[in-house]
Amino acid sequence: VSGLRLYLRYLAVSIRAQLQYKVSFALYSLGTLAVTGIEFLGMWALFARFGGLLNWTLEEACVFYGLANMIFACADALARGFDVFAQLVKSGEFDTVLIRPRSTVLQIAGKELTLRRVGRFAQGLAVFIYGAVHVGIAINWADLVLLALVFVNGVCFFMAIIALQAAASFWTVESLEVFNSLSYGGVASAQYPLNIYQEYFQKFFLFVVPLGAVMYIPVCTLLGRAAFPGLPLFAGLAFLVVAGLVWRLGVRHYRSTGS
Amino acid sequence: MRPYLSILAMRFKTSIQYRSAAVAGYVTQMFFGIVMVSVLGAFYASGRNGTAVPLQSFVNYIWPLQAFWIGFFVLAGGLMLQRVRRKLVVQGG
Repeated sequence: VSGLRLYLRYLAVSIRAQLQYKVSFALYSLGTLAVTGIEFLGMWALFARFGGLLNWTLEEACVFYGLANMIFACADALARGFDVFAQLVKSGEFDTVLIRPRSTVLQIAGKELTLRRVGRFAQGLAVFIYGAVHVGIAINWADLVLLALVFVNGVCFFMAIIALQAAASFWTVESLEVFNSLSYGGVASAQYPLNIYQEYFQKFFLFVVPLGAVMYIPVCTLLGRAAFPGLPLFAGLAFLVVAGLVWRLGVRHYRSTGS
Repeated sequence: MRPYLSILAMRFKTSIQYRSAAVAGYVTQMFFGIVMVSVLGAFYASGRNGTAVPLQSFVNYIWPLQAFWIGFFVLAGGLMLQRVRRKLVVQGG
């Protein structure tokens, strides 16, 4: 069985398993929809109160907000195995992963495709469509290609963050929650345009953790706003490659836990 | 009350065993604090309409919220679900 076939079979099993608990799935999805929906109401209320955010309108902010949430929902669903990975290191179960004659990445990534993230995705999609229709983007091919690139790179970026968090547990054993500030915190900050933040914060998300390069710069181009000297098209993919290298280093460092 | 307090103490001790993880958790809350304050600050700076509440009051409200958020996980942690699945509820452990 080829790697891809096996991965797809893993996902099929995971989906069937989740649909065993239909009520749980439905309620969980509704729950995320409600929670993230309230978050959007918060943003809407701020715009209604203040009338605008620096040079941005509500509709433009909706494009950022919707994209960030759709991207994160996908990445979060795909990388669930890495999200709960620290537990495997802690309990020593990772040993069994190493015994099997398949790559560790394939086995961990195939652990689960989290369907209930559909709640966040749906909400992001609705907000994005509202914003995109009002500012008039994604109507020609160039826009659509750029949008697809933003999406793919964004998903890669967040998967890389989650994989890095997992890889860190090879050294620390306990999962490092600080990565949550890059994953969940990354979404929270990318829901708004990057230029509203302090200078050091912007630099951090442009040059250290390239979320700004993955989302902010291309989306600005889409919206026909602020021009940048370059248009990074593969920053997210590059970041995922780096995460893969760190992962390999981590596996090599792994000495198992326990007595 | 006594058993409850001792369970709380136990959980607290376990959670600070991995010191770097505990510090990291706090850093995360501070990060979210920075994001919230920045967003509000930017809204105030664009100031097309004024509000009755000064920015300072908002900021004073956000920081304690972030600082005590960790308590939510210690008190309400997601252990219950695991216990139901692993049939540990009856044993009270």
